[in-house]
Amino acid sequence: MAENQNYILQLKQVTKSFASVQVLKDITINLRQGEILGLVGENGAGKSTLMNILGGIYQRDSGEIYLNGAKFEPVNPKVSQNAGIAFVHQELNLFTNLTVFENLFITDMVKSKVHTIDKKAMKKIAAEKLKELGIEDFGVDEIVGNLPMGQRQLIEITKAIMKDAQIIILDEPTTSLSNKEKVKLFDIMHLLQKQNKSIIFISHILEDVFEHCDEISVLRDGEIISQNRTSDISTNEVIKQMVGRELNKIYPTVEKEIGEVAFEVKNICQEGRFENINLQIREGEIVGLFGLMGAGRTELLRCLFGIDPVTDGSLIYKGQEIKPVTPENCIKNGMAFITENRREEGLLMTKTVKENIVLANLKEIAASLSFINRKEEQRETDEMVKELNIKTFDPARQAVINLSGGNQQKVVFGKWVLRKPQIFLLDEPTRGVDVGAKYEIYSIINDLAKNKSTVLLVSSEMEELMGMCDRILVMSHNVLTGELHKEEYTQERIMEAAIGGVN
Amino acid sequence: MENSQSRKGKVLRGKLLNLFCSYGLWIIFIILLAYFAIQSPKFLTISNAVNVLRLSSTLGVAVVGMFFVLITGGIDISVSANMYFSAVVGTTLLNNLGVPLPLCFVGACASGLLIGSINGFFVAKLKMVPFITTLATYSVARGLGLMFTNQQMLFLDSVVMKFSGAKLFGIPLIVYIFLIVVLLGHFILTRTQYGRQLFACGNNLVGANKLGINGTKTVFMAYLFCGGLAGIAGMMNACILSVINPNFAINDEFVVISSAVIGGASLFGGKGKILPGAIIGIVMVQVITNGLTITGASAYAFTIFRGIIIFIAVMMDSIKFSGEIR
Amino acid sequence: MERVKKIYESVDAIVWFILVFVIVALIFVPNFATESNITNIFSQACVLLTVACGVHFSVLNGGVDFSSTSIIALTCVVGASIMSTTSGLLAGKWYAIPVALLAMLLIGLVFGIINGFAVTRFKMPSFIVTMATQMIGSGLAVVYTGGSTISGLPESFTILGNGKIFVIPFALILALLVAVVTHLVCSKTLYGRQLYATGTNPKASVISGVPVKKTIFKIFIFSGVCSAVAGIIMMAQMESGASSYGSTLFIDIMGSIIVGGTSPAGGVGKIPNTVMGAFLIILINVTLNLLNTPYFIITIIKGAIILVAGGVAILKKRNEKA
Repeated sequence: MAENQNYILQLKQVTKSFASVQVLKDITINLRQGEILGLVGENGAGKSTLMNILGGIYQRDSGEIYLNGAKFEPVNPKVSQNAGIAFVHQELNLFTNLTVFENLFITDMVKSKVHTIDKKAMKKIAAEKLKELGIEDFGVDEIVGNLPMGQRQLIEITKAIMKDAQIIILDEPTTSLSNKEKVKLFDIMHLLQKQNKSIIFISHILEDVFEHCDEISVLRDGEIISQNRTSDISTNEVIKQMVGRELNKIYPTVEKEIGEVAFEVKNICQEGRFENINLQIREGEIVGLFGLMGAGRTELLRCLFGIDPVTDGSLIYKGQEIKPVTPENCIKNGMAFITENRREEGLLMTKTVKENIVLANLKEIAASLSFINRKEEQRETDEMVKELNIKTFDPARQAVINLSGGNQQKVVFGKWVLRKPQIFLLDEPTRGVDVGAKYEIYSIINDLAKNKSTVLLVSSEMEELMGMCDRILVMSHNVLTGELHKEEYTQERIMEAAIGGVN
Repeated sequence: MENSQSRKGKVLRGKLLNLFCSYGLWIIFIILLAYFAIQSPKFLTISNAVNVLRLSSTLGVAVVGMFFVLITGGIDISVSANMYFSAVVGTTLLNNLGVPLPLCFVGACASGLLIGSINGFFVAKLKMVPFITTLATYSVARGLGLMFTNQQMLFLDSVVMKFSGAKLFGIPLIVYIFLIVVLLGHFILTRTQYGRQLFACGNNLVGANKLGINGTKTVFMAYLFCGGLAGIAGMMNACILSVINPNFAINDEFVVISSAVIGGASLFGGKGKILPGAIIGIVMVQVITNGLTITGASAYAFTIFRGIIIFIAVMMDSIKFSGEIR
Repeated sequence: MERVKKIYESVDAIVWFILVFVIVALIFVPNFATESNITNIFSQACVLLTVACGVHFSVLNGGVDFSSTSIIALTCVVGASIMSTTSGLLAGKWYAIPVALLAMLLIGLVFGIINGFAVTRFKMPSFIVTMATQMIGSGLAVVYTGGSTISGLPESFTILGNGKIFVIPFALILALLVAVVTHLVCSKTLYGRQLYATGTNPKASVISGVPVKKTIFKIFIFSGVCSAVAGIIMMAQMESGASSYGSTLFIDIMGSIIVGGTSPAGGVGKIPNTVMGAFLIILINVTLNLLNTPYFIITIIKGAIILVAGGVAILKKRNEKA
């Protein structure tokens, strides 16, 4: 084992399945002491699952983990913490009603002799830590709820290293940071590295990974494709490995006509976020909306559908203004919205396929005295199940929760396709969906466009947008920063616009 | 033009709303105080003030417990029945077994803890809805109390008179007990790790569990505190009245909950300062009750007033809540 | 064997509870199967059943309506004070009864509007809003009567309470009518669908175009009106109105709904099961009374039933998920 001496952490043939879906296959990763390992991969490649196994949140099915050369069993978060593994989650886990120093110490407070908490000591340590990391924007006494998101992220990172962690996992830490805050984060990372700590840095921003990591590991569809020294691999190679498939294999095409401008968004504003956003979509056109996490794509769609408040501006479909902008009225005017999180906002998980499919169309199938027309309901359900190929033993009896991810998403589509929407807003429609179902979903979107709907498709997968869209808009920090037509598509140009808008 | 004007209007309305939420209760309170003072010369006297303090102290102890539960984002409707049951247990110890009074308090507290642990088990462990769980234990506790008393009145041994009448520097001993409980509660919430974690759980239980805080245990403990303190409050109340009738403490859960909410605890959890919140809350409610009594308002009107107070207090809490980002 | 299992699984637990209870009671409880006892069970079930159907709506949304009991009290005293032939406001007038009934329904409606407004507009939790309006309502009822009982109701009205066909009281027919209507609303109409959707997942419902706030608002209207109808039945059965009517009913209401399998977390539950739940609670009441069980034991048992039924429902749900 002499060759492994400078590896602080090794994963060997780690596998993990959820239900029957294998999310991680034979993962082997090595992390050296005092180095930064970049872990890259598309959304849903399995990065977060892998790190959750290390953090003790999920249990692996098989494989071995070695920490400092000894076998390591992260059976729960505490074990991992005590072993010196600090995990900074993608979503912040702070208590907005407590102060900065309380958040830093919440699980293990400094106590005085009589077992009360020693606020003075904690404040002192917290202040020292913040100073050590060069964070000066806020004091230790401030209530976290009053701080902006970027600063909260810094607290989260500080929290992770409070306990002299040896290995620090950073899961997409830059998504909600401004450029200035990002620079600070990288300074902190290198500072930690100098203290001989090891870091696993998960990010989809290749530029950052190449600039700051010593090694890069590429994860695709639950498999490690490669692990190389940064100097031994180029951006293009990494991109190739991340994607690894031919575009034309995956994305179906359809013969369609793109007509006149049908849907217009005029000067949409939302206080504190958007200012005068404008966009136009033609009949039958699929427009992609790309942006890195935190760019404001989801928020824009929510705004357009009236879920979050619109402070100013108007939506126009074929010369008619859609007013007021509320979900109910938007639906009435032919809009549809597939949210990014189908479990929370797309489906009634415990209800049947049928109940979910007709949910948005209830008013239309209500007959006299607002009694639901059961025959019509069944007919529509059957139609959608057949048309979208939803695999269910009985749509009137099977609860959506028992369907696979892909079929669940098809149910969400069914709910809207039933209404033949003219304006279709899609937010990450293929997230957490297996490859086969993905293809079917692309076909559904194409069919809608063929039937003269206007489609606005948000995705973090650049390849998906390039394969599906007639035009791609790029968003960065709540501003539209780029527009590319089909013949102009290159990953570099899209990425440039996605990052370029920062300055 | 129109738009900016309407926006200005909205801002103004928001400001007014904020003002109302922050000071509304105080304004109503002061107006009521003035009204009572004008109506009756007896209202603004020292002896009446001492009386109000005494009345506030017993339920005040239960209010402190309610703070713990409200901070978790839950509620405990069973407090009043719990007070009854515990007072009966304590009194039985006193009357039938001749146990010394302090130990009777321990007994009452223990039976309160028993009810609290049932609540805690169902709410924290099984994740049952708090108001349903505590409604059920309300029924159980009251039934148990009636069982022990055989639905009869229960007179306390006369030794309690010494306790309930005792004064220190002209202020009833009971008031000191209340203050000690307030200080202890405040201490636990602000000076112990448990207290801070309780706030964390009330703010984001899922997140707390992820961090390795034992959310189930933390929330369970909150219901235990609430139960135990309700038990003590029940025994204190019994000592003051020196009799327990089958209607003992009935509807007091409303007083306790509304006092806690007026005192700054939020029904949405994660918020509240026992010092001075619990004192302000219960004193405010009892001053109004006392004022109504002194000015000769119909006894029947009390319930209506209590209802209105709880409505307004919660309304302000809720409006504020919708403005917060969480 | 397979078929037996299938039948067993397709029938809700409440049916088995009632069956087992009735069988055990028939064997062990003397005087259980007498005509008078059956009539007693039926007539006692009327009020509970009606009001439980109303509260059922709010529980479907994961809320509750505590004010229902005070609506019963308030409607009773107001209705009685209008139609009483001895002291009524409209004593002896031909339109006394319809005016009284309208006034009663109106009271239910007003409470529903206040509750609904507070919950949807101010985002106040329903359990606390209705707790407050419950206090206000019962306080008003006491103030209105000064604590006395108003009797002397016209016979043409009290026939609703004491008349019967065979063993079926007229009041039960009215109560079952309410049950049928609420059942149809819940299971067959647009509103019912929207209600279940809202109770299951309000976020997804909003995004699917369900008018969530309106839906929640209407819950309290239904609940208020059902409580008013329950008040009418109560008044007819007692042949008087008093502010204490209904005051101890709430634990029975919650018991009926939860024993019927409705999840306190919202989104799940059927009216027929709540109706059966109400019958089970009344069966328990009546049987324990026949056995001369003291009141406090009944109180303890009722609390325990809610705890056990609620706990079992949660454990069952957990098993299904796992």
